[in-house]
Amino acid sequence: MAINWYKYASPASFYTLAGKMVPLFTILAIGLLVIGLYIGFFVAPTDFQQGEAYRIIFIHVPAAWMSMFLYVVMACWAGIGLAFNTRLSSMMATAIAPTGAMFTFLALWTGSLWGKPMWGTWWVWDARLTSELILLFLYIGFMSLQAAIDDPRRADKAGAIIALVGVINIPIIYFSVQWWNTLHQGASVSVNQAPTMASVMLTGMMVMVLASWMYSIAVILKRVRIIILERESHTAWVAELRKKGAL
Amino acid sequence: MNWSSWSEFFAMGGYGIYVWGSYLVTLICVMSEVLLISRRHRTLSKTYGLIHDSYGKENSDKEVLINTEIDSLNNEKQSVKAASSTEEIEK
Repeated sequence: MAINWYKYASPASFYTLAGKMVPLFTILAIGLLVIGLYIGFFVAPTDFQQGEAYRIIFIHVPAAWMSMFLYVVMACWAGIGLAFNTRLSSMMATAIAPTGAMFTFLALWTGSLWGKPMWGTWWVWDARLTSELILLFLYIGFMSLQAAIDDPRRADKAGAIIALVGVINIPIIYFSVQWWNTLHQGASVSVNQAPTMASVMLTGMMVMVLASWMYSIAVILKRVRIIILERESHTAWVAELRKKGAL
Repeated sequence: MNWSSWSEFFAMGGYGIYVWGSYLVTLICVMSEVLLISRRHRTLSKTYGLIHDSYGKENSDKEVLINTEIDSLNNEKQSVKAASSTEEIEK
């Protein structure tokens, strides 16, 4: 059976699909969060170098990964919206931005609280930290630009250009620890090397990464549903929903 | 098990302020994001509720009345116009 993917490019059918997916991903997020925190605090042992302070890793790394990943996804949707003029793609980009910004802020915040006991400073202007801060500004720039333009379709186009130009920052963040001599440590997990972490710690971290994924999907789908309703309020199918009292 | 007591758990080996500072702020951010989204949804359905009312059953009779009033006014105008035009023709 072939699934007609184009069907879900229509805001009306995607609205229904997303509505079914939100509770599923919420449950998955909560479940994984409980397991991840349990492993992180009760199963994973104390680090021989960093003591208990390393337990920040269970939110720092997922937040940092999500901040970069969500930016790439946002730029992809924005680019598709710009190229093919599909309304839903641009709405997805708009829905992703606040969650991405939140994870970027959390990566910086937890990194700062980790840096103080380990490096002896809250902040340094090194490549990794600075490029991550620029990422936060890119998210904020994208959101403020969209908020400043009244016509949503023009806001989509202007936002897409910021999002696409800003993608250049993602490889800079990722490779910053290799390209420059930074205070930030190198990658803990990479594709072509064995992880430099104890396996229990790694398991806990990966479960927390999965939990952040599920959380992001749930929140972004919930937000895109609201954006769809806001923008499609003049259409017949929204009027139909309104009649049924299903809003 | 890593901890022999709750106080040891909260102390985090002397790093309590850093570890809990991270987790607490994360919790606040996540909670406020969820709260903001549900509030945005509520505002939206309230706005739609208002739109719904103005097109809904309660006001539909009123609207019909207003429309018929406007219609009758228009008819009067037209008949006046018609009358004046016939007068002009007669002149």
